Amino acid sequence: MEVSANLGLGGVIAFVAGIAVLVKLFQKEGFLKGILGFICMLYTFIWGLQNMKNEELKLKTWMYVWMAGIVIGLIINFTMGGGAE
Amino acid sequence: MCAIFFGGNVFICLMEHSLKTLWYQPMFSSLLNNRVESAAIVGFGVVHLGMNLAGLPFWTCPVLAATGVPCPGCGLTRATMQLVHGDILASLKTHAFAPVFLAALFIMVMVLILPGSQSTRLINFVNRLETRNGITAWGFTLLMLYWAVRLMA
Repeated sequence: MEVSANLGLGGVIAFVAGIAVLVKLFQKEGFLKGILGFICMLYTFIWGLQNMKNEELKLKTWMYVWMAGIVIGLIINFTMGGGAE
Repeated sequence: MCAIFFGGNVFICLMEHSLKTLWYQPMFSSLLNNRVESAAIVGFGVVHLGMNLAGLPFWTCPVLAATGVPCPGCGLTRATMQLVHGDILASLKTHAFAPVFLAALFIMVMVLILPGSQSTRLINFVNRLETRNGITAWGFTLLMLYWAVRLMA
């Protein structure tokens, strides 16, 4: 298992938060939308942003963590001069 | 088919019913019905494609970044850009589902820009396709199989 060095930290943070949001997406929207969220994590991210204010889902923390992961990944990526896939 | 409700048959019958309900669930049309969600997806999609064209990718797949294993949708952006540039063969080699993805994006844009009644007709058409043929579930199944083949290759 090879983890890209410049995307590793942000990527892992984003991955963990993304999976947490994906689980909520499966629970709330059903199987097909869950699959869509897995195929396109960008959809999971958008859905998470849209439902951040929903107290029942408790997505706020996970979304902030995910955003932090993206920002960390971008900063490390740009400072190290690496390219994203 | 579900006439006999004895013992294990109840379980099989329930499984069959839930599988049918799942298979013919209108997923894409419900997405199209939600204007805000559709607009957000189209907006993010356009920004994502534009940034990639400019060589400034702002979104990296978390699955690929963390595990090194591509997710079923990995490569779709590149393939779609190749398709937009007219390089059909390269696009199909990168990700065979790029035309489907582009068509879905096109339908979403059409629903957003068409006037009310025509937009509703388009949504209803997609809904009929999904509930009669289970086209979305078939598409996802094929995509998952394609992903498995790509992982093994």
